Amino acid sequence: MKGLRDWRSHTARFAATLALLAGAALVPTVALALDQVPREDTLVSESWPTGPAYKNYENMNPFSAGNDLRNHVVFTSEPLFYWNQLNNDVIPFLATGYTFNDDYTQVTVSLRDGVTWSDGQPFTADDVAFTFELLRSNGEGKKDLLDSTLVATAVQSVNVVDPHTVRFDLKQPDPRFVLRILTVSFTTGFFPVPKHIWEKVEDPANFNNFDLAKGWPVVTGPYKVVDAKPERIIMDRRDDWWGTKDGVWGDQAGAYYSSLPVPKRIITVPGMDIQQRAQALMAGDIDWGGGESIPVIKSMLAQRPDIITTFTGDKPPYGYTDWWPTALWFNLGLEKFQDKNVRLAMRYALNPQQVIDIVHEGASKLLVSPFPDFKAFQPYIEDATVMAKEHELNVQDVDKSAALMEKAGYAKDADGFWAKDGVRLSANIIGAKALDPMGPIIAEQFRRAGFDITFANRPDYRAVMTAGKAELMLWGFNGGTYDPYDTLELFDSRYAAPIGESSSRYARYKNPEVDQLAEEIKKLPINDERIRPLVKRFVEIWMDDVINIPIAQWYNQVAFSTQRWTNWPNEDNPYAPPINGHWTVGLVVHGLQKAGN
Amino acid sequence: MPWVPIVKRVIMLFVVIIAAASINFVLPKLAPKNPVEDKIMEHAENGAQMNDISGLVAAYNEKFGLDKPIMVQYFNYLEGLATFDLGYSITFYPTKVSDMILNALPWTIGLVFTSTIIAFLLGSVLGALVAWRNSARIIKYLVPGFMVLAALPYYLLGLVMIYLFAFIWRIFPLSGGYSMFAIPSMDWSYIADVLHHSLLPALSIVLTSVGTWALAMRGMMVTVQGEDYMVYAEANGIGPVRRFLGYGVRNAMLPQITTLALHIGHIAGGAVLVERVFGYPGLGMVLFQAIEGADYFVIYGVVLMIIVMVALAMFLMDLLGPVIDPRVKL
Repeated sequence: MKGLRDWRSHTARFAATLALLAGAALVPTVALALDQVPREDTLVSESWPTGPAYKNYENMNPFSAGNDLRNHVVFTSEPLFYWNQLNNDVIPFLATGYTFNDDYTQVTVSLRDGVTWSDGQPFTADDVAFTFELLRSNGEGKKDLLDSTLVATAVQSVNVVDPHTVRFDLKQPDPRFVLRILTVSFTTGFFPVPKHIWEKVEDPANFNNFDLAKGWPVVTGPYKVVDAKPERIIMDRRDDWWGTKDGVWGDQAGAYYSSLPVPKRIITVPGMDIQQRAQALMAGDIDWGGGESIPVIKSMLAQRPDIITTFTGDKPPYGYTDWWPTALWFNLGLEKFQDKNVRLAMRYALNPQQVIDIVHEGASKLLVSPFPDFKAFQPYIEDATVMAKEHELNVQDVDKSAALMEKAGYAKDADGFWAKDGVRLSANIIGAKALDPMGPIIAEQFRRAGFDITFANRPDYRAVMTAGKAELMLWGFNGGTYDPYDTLELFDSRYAAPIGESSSRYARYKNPEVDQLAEEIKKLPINDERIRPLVKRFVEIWMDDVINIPIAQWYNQVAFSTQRWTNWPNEDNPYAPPINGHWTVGLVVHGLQKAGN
Repeated sequence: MPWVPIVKRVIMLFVVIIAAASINFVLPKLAPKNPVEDKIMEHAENGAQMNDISGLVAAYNEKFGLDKPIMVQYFNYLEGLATFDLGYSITFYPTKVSDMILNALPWTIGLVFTSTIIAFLLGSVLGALVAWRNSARIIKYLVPGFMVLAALPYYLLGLVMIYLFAFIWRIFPLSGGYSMFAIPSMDWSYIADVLHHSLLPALSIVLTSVGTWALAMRGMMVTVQGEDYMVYAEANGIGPVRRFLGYGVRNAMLPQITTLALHIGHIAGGAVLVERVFGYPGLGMVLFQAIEGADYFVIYGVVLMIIVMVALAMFLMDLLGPVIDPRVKL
């Protein structure tokens, strides 16, 4: 009987331990005393990083390579300037303006008087100089801060002229410096950080900038982070935001962004899958969704026309043009794509309109240039439209395709695929996951024209493309947004690394003439009339050389719920780009109004 | 005390841990993905102006010691394990691996551990009752139902349950550990919210594993009931409850407890697919995301926990075996 008693005793202790562990699990994390804010005063935005849990919820460092600013920083921080591509506006925010010297080697930036950090310290030229010196020196040294090499390449030194004036001395003439470095648009630009906090940080790359007890992150924006968990990040409105002070806005007073935003609390939640997002939007769990697909948007508009809307309301394209026109990219470092006739034959084999009709249900536009369909690009797109007709861009012609392949020395093998010297021209397509729906259609179009092309994307597509090991890639032009220069730079020979070496320029294209054109444009100020013929020549080369095959414009298609928040940006009132995947969301929250008001 | 076998087992424990940890070092490296490059290119895909990524990649390779020869990396890894320094996550840098594990562990214990224990107790009792001659007829009909559920993968049942209970009927939440508006605290509304969120994932684990536990227990109970001591106990007039618990269940439980120890060891890894399907913020999710991003150091940390817990559980079972069943020798 002793054995049985012992066994019972062991069992009882075991059960007690289990109960304790299970109880402990109910209190998983920090217990914070947060105010309850009614749902009606809360804006819930779905972030873009794939959920269901945030990967970096305690990282508020805007320069950290492990961070995604879209979860939090973009709501709490403010840049010197914003740029709204929808109406081609530069919006001075922490700065009030800038002036270049005659040869564009110096830019003097005036800062707004009266701006304060969330800990009450004044925002001054010291903070701006510290931020950009930090990035510049890092870009020349350790290089472990995001985009620090970009600053290091451009900036010689940053000098404080007076508490509200800072001067950037540049390494070379750079008329685009303000828009490229000092302005936040899409997911580019920099947010200044407080010198009085960051100067004490030994290793900025290893700094989370998150300690609620210390009031970190210290920010200038109208919201502060009050809780961060893998499931959601909560930011509460700072009613003492500097923007509410009299006189700080000068001649910008009265602009929609000069008043305190209406939402008292912003909650961001990790990205959901597309069906889950639709349910959450229609049920009122979230107000602002991430990227949608056309069928889902149509379905939501049909089910809840009373609360669901988009940038273009209930009409196509249900969004606005993104900076990421889609193309099929060749890896030009590979021998099989060296012959221009082959590339042109492949272009003739494709029918981009069919891709648009199937994938976007017609709600997109054919590409006639490598530029997004922004106001700033209209003159260049006009020129390209004429050239596109001459070059039969977007024209499917299988007979011409076949003639070009024969000219290149290819003949069809027994299975009907193009081959040369017994070797079939085979390739696989990989690329951005968002473009996956296009892959099978494009592959099938190729196969019908005799090209042994497959589509089999892989989870490590970025690494494969970076190393130059991809063959064909579905990818976007992440080039110019305010001017064509950055698009030309995408094809700069400097980035055409040999296969096996890392490069973010996946085409690995080399052409001294394009380099020369880019160099000439680089020296000219934005909107200079001398740019247009240079760009026209570049577009001609792009079409002639068949650097890649254009497919379609890319749209930011997001859905909003008007159940609690109205006045979302739309085509009649494009006051800010309304996608929560871009860093300009700080503008959008200023424009929202409470439903019913 | 039989010290020699205990020392032998302690040595074996360390050998198992080092061998398994070494395999753990090699396996993630076989993936073609470069986690540093991948993370940095993710920024480029999102639009960052990555003109020169080689500098950033080199800086982070150096930071994580990935620029060193593989053997140096291996010894650094072993040194880190010996000093309990699991390092930083590559994908979530500068978050420490230990912090990620500590944040996720309570969720996994709460969900997977509790569900496993419930399934174990329920399944063992049901299995024993099915085999017991005098048990109620309804018990005999319950078990086949659970056996059908046991044939389903638990994540598949999870998906069906999400579709029915969360998507169609909206009785339970679609995902997460607690609702997005809840503020973590010790009040009942928060605890109820956590329980509400854990019920579906817990049910998917319990429902799909009760049958397996019951089947194993039934087999053992059938064997045990034929033993002489059961006949002897009945002949001595010992009551059915005491014969059932003290003579039957007790002797049939040993293999069940050994299996439970293995299961508990694996809890450190969470139920990867269940946590993924239900968006549950436990260790399984951490491991899933780490594998997705080839985040070596997080994989090392979580898998090391599994290795240590399984090895420790087996070690403890070796020691506890003779206590539970005197026929077992160390």
